[in-house]
Amino acid sequence: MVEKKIIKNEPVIELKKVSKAFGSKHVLSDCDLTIYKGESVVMLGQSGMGKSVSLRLMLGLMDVDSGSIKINGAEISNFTDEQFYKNNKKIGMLFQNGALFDSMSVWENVAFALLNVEKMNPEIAKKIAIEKLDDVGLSSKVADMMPAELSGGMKKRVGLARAIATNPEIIFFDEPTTGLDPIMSDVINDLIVRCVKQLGATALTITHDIASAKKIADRIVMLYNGKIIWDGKPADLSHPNNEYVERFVKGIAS
Amino acid sequence: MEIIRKIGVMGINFIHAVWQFLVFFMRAIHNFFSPPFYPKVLLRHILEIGFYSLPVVALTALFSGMVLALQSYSGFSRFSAEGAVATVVVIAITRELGPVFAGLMVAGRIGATMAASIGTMKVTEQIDALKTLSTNPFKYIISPRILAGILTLPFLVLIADIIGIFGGFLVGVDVLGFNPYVYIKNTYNSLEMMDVFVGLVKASAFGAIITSMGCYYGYYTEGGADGVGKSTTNAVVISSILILISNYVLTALFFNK
Ligand SMILES: Nc1ncnc2c1ncn2[C@@H]1O[C@H](COP(=O)(O)OP(=O)(O)OP(=O)(O)O)[C@@H](O)[C@H]1O
Ligand SMILES: [Mg+2]
Repeated sequence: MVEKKIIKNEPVIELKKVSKAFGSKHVLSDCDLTIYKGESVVMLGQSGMGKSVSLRLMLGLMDVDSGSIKINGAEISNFTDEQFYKNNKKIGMLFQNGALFDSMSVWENVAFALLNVEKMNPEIAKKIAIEKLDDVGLSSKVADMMPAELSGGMKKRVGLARAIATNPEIIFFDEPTTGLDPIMSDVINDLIVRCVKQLGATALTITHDIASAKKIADRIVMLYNGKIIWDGKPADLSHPNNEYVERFVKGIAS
Repeated sequence: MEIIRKIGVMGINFIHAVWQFLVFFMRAIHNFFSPPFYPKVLLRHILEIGFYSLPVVALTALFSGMVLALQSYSGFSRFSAEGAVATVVVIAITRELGPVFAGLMVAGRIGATMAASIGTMKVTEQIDALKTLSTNPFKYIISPRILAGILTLPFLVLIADIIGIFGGFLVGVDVLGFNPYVYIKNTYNSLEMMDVFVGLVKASAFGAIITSMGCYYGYYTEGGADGVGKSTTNAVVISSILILISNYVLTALFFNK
């Protein structure tokens, strides 16, 4: 197996004192988080804690109320339209609900950036799309189907294939294994590990699945009440030295 | 006091909405002119607006031409001026009814479709997904639709004009018993290029109104399926009203000399 390198002095994603509120509801307050090159970080947190919101902020799909978010050292709130779209070429994103384009077939979804951004020849793009579908455990028969014909778990995997189709440097996965059976979850976990190790990508994954977190993470962080309250190695998760994290991992309400 | 406050809030909301729309529209226009372009998307919408609207537009035009001939005959026969039927049909169709009816039909069809499909894309995060795939939704979704509307409506209206006049001819000859050669000659003599041209200018304006309203309401949809429904209704109602208002303004501008 290729030895992978985490380059500790090269931050890829840097959140400093990020705050975000919806009306009177404070989702993030002075949240700090740094993710280094080649690292696979898993973010845990209860439902409604703001995990998806923090991804949207990092992607520039939402604006922070205050604080700074840097991708590869560049402050994303200062991007012009052109810089924003150029920067996104390096980024892959799996949305929690898939967000597939329902007017396009599965393979056109997966190959969207190849066709429309890289202007690749459709035949080659389709070939790549079918390979990526194979990576997420979907047969080539699915390629010509429409998203409406797929099950929830299949949609999720198509979304995953689309997120990694251009071999991005930075990948965000919002609950990649939620709604999948244990065997398929394991396939996806392996795929994420492979993306990070072989392609040298930097990944931030949100999940509720502790087993999967342990498998894919170099580092695990816990979001609670607007801040990262715990940051450690997967092995430390069983003795987290933090009462809340311990309860979270064991699934005890109080 | 409460009423004044409410009216004030409504006024401010209205001005804010108009401002937001203008910014939206300018952004769409701006994006017409800078790459990347998506000619396939443009073509698809030209087809969607032009080709697939043909049946409804043709049917409305046919029947409005027919009813126009019937009504003007019953009116003019009181003054023994039946010969004016062809003239009335031509002028009314090319100046007003062709563009307005086609505009309203397309508003119902295309305005609703656009608001619903863009609204659905918004609430299911497909628009966000586009952005993460390095594709500017203005260039990919909005601008091609608005451009397609501006380009296509004049052709639809031209066809509506022809079919409307033909409808008048049918009734004039078959029902009212005009001599076909005389009717055609009257039609030809009353046909003004300027009328047709202004009708086509109106058509382009309506095309811009319909598509930009559909896109605007779709793009700012909030809150699930319910929000999509609201956006769709708003797009159709507002664009229909704007069509009628702008039709009056354009008529006043061109014909009121
Ligand atoms: N567009 C929005 N407008 C208003 N409130 C929002 C919006 N988006 C998210 N929120 C609120 O922000 C909070 C965090 O939402 P978020 O989707 O980030 O949760 P999450 O941690 O991803 O939860 P889950 O694990 O269930 O996906 C929620 O309370 C939600 O109500
Ligand atoms: Mg979420």
